[in-house]
Amino acid sequence: MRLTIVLEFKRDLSGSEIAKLDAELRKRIPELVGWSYSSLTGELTLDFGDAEDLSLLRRVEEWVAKAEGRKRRFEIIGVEKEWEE
Amino acid sequence: MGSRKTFTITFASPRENLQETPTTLPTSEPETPQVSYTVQSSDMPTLNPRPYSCKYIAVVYAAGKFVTAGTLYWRMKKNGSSVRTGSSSISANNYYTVNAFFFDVDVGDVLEIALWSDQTDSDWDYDAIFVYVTRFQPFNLHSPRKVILAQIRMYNENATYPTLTQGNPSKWISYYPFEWCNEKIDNYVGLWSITGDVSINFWSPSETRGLWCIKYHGDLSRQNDAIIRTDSTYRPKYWSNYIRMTTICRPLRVE
Repeated sequence: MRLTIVLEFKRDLSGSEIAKLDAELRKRIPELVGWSYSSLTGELTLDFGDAEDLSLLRRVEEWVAKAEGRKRRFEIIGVEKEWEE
Repeated sequence: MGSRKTFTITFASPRENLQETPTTLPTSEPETPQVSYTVQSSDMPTLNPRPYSCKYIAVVYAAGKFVTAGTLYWRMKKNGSSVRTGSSSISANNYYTVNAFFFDVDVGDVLEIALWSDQTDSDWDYDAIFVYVTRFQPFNLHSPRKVILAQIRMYNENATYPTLTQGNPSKWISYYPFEWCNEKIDNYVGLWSITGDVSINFWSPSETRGLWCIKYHGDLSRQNDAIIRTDSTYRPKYWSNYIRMTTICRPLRVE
């Protein structure tokens, strides 16, 4: 399952900022397999691998809601599941 | 009504590089990305005849191994500018493959991937590039009056692309490599099965997405994004799909 969020800021991250964001995300969401961030679109995509646990989604939604409370705008724009042969 | 044309696509072979001795990954971001490809005309697919317009996606692969479990960090750059960054957890003694999809590339573009690790015994030893077609628009839709397409037939070859000399391919979203698009919703109206053959009498394609476009493989999804795939026995771990489409149609000017 991959979940995509749009962040308000759209700026490039340095190597140390990437490490900081990585640590922060993994602390809050231990099930996270990986993530990617686009400085072009502000999209943050969270990759949960094969996990399809809806409670994960609820937890991320709660995190997003809390972040919104701190005046930082987030928007969940999509959840997708992919499969292959 | 214009003449009916058959548009075919021939892909170039992927360019690949396998190091005899793997290179250790740094533990902080390297100033110069390890993987760098300047897109050459010989990388580009051959379209015959040339359609009115299309776009190209380049997938750049970078692969190696983690001895100790850790985190792989990566950055995609296009012409020196960062387009995407990310990280991925890699298990001990696992191979990783970065599948990085660069959208809308052309000859001369410099496509790069920087890799680094939080472990000192991770390496990188393989990279490759392959270019394919999306947003296929066979005719100018305004010349000068509105043009739609007639007597359309679209089918894909029963073979998958790319094929790399290393690793093992798997099929990506095997049932839906393509979407075909129309002007009304500027979105998909149909998904393309593994090998499909569709005929339509008249069609008004999407202005932006063309008659058809790639769905997941770097356009409607994964545009300027990378996916990191892992395996305990091999690299590169990559997708190969039925992406060689033949399009037959003629333009019809609407008075």
